Amino acid sequence: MPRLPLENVRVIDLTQAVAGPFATMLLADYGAEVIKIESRTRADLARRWRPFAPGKEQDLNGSGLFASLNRNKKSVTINLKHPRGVELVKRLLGRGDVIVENFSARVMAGLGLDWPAIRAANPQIIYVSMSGFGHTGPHRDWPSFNMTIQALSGLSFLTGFPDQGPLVIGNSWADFVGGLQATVAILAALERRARTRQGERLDLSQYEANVTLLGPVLLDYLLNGRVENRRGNRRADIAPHGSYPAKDPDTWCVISVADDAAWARFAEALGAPPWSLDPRFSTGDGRLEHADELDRRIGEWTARRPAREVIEHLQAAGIAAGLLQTEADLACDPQLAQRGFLQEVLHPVLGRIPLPGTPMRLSGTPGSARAPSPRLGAETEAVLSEILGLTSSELADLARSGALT
Amino acid sequence: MTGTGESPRVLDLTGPLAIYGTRLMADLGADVIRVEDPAGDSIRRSPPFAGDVPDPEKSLAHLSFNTNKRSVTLDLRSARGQEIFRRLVKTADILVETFSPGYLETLDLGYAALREINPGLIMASVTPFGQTGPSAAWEASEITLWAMSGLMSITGDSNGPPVLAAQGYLVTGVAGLYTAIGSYLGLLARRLTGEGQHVDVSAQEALASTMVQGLVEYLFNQRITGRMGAKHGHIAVAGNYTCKDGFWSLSIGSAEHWHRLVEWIGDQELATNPALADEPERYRVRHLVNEKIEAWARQQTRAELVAEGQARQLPVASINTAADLVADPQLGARGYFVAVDHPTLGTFRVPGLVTDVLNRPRFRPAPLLGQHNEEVYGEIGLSQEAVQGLREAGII
Repeated sequence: MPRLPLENVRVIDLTQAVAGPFATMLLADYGAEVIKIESRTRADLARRWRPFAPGKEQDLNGSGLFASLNRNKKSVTINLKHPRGVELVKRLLGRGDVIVENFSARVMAGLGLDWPAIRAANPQIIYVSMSGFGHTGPHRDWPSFNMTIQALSGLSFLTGFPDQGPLVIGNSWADFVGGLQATVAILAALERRARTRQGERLDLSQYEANVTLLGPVLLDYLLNGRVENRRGNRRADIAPHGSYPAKDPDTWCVISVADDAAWARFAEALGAPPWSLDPRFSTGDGRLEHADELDRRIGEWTARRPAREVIEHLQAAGIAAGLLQTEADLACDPQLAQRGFLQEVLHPVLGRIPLPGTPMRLSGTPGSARAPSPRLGAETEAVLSEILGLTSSELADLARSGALT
Repeated sequence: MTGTGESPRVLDLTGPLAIYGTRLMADLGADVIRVEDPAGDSIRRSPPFAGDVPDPEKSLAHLSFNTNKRSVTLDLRSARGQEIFRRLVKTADILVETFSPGYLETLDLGYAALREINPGLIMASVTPFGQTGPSAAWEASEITLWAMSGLMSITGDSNGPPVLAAQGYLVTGVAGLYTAIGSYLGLLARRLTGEGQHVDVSAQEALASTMVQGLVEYLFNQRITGRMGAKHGHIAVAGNYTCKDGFWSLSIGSAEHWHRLVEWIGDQELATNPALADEPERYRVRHLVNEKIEAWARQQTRAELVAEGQARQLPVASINTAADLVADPQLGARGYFVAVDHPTLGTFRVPGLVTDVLNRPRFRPAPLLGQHNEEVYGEIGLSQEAVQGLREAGII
């Protein structure tokens, strides 16, 4: 059994929905013991989110999204509105390394779990909050979801065509980015703690997590006073650059030609048609200026050919060309298949399901989706007895009191 | 400096796929040394430029992604350059590179060779498709990776072409985030095993890891998401909606949100169907629900909708531009933008950390080309004369 980078790390996970669970999933994939605290009255929202296996729409263990985001974790039900429930969380903190939550800003203090209380429970713990806007500032209480952040962060404004409305990415993109930023913050804090032995409190804003990916666009305004607009698939510096229809309905090739040398190879790969020799297209500036006509000509060429044939032909000529892949294409992509990107997990309700694995291959300590997502509360007694040493009569008493619901 | 109490040292040989990852590590305290060709790295030639003047010190991508790093120049193709690089590697914890798979081996600077001289080294190689597999050698750019990862199939209008989101910066962002994650995992693993390792990051997979909803949906039900324009493909009410004077954003994530929205809209048909409070049922009839929301919102302005939605504790938003972000009181109150003093461009602000509002550190501007040659080469024991000799020989 190979060692895992986080095999000595225990995470007390109060997150739900997508961003937080995605972060703790990455930690669990690399060996952290992630104790997911839920309650029966307020189970993780993602247990009710698509996609569901056929016939499992009403099953709290039937969401494929939840199954992927919560693999390798343990589910413990604790009622955080019950004083003995909060006491249990504090005792778990005493045995934990990291606590993560993505409640809105006021919730933790309301539960009696603000930073001083957390720190008192364990001075060496790393506490990461990952609310929409952070725990300070005038908008700290604004509710936020993925699409709110796609809109506010500048991402949506920059996506689409200049003469049409702003578009979005049709998945929970902003949540994934928030989760990745939280993961970096947690790992960096663990690395610092290994050197300094100090606990830390990190207040992450999912809004900032997404804004920050647009650094050069922000600098364009800060230094040049320019507000960049969306521009479809065009770039300011190179042409051609875009998506082009292929022969079959709604199949597309994507092509970008970086410089004059690439343009020469591209034109030759197209069979050097007379239009490609037009001097207007011989320089980068000329191609940018006449991008409309260039795109039309290229589109006419690609539309007569199957997409895969086009991109294999162009790749052979050293041109950056790609295929518009849907989920169906990803499921049988030979590159992803050979690298084992999809990893199969045996799930108690969903059966054998392939889940997206990790984009990082660590040669010495590889992470993986090893165990399925937990049934709600599946490890409550095991965790509380093994980690906190509670006896069966203490557990029964807690259950009767309503602290474990 | 492997395994000591100091901040990790990172050698940065990266292009767009990992340059944001090393910036993140620099922001978080790592000593990141950019090792550039003596002619300057290609990122310095990417537009736009400060003042729209093409200049290797004025590329906004360089100024943004190289904040907090040091810069040395070194010709890795020369034998003397390779020798100096090996001396640098001896002092490093992490090397991040984005060359085509196999290129560094041709310089005898591949992982196997570098491990010999520093067994604790963590080497992260970030490429479009990873180090292995039939497409490993394929050419790629941000837009082709957006397409190959599946994300372009869910970005765009169903009756228009598929679209690259946000000019491709998100590809740099997410591949960079995984770069940092893989590097820190390597550092933490070294504390357990005492050994370094090779981290192979695929940008295609990095992007595809966000396609989980669509992928699992396809695996369960053989349905693809498709391009949904301004809406989420897997949630009933989430995305940009039309209003009287443009667009606004609305998301309904819970039964409470739904009840608040229905009360606000005042639509009898929505209000009298309790099943719609449950997301799966709401998703089933989402076209009807969204038509009702659009028709209602078209009577009101964006400002009215956003103000009233916020008063009702709903996740509503306006669609921000860069100017809106710079003026945003929330970012301002949290000190998100950090001022740096650049030797030739003067003082300007850059995006800062996304965590740790209490301890925003001082930031240093992106380095001038070779700004830290004397400093860094001095740290590995080269005399001023030796550095001068290397400069005259064109090695640095």
